[in-house]
Amino acid sequence: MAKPLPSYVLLGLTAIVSFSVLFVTNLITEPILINRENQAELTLLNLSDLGDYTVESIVVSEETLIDAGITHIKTFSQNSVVDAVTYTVMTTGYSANLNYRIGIRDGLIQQFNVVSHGETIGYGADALLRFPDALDQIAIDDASAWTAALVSVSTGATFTRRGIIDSLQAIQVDYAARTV
Amino acid sequence: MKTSFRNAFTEQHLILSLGLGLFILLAGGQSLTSAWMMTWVLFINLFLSTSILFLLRSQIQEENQWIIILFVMGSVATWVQMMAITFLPGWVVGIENYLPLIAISGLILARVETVVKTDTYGDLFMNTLGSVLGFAFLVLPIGFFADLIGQGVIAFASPFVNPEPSMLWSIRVLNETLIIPIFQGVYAPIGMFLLASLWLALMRWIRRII
Repeated sequence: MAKPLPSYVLLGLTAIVSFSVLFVTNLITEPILINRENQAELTLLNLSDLGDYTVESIVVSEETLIDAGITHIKTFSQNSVVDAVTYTVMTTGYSANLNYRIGIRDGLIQQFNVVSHGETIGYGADALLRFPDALDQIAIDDASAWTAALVSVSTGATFTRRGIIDSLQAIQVDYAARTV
Repeated sequence: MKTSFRNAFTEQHLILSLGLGLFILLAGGQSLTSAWMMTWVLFINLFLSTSILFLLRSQIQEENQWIIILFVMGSVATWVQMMAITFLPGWVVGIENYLPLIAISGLILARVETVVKTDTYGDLFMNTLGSVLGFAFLVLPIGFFADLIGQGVIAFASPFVNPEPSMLWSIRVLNETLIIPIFQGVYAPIGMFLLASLWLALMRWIRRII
């Protein structure tokens, strides 16, 4: 039986092979993931393709945004002017971890998608099914309009609605600041 | 080889299941799909890791065995996670961040360290197969019943997203009034542990009579 390699050689060779395989895998998978992510953003903004848009991921660092549960922001700009933004939010309704995404373009809410939640069936969970249609094409700067829209379809789901409204208020302020 | 399979199927999967059963609790709404994906991830991780370590076993010594085992299993787990998220995104919803943990828990490492020392590759393969099938016999029924009792549906997710996750099928079986809250959302661990206990008791009874 051949004499075993010294431990540092064996470990070094194992590391080189492992890193090489992972590096090549990353080269293959990364473009697919980026493309999929962009496709999801386009759907959220009711766009068929990126066109002249420049996409930028924003690191959420402002305390008010973090407090409102906003975890990711992407801006879409043309000629250095931002006119569309997508937000990913993790807020609290009746239960924690109410995760939704919203796309706003030209000042109007394009899509509101609930990703996951732990709301109660019959109450908050049912209301969440009605929120996308209720918010469709409402101006984000018209807080009265989207509040009324949410209230009208969420009887008995006060906590769920409140979680959404609190985060939308922060989004309203942020969107206005970015699209000046 | 037959003994390896039987031992793994009847004994070792219980250890794996207890160690990994937690992941079914983390799976969110698509319990059956998550259980299915976890089973495959466990199989691929164990199969690749033990195969690589089996090939390296003449080089592994007392002083370096743990760091080599950790390195190989960590790399394989990362690779499997990258591939699963890229090519089967619909099946990893809710569990994507936990996939590597399936392969690098202390229980799995200890098991792999033992299994790699078996004499033949056939034994090693059958041991892996037995363990994973035993794991599947626990988590798949739990996932199925959690969907059924907790959400009133028999559902299975599509492996692809276009661009959002969707279901291959979702059949409502129970009226919403019959759904039991302990299988839903934040209360799900209560129901999952009950199901797991019942299923383990059933498996032990079956093992006694065969």
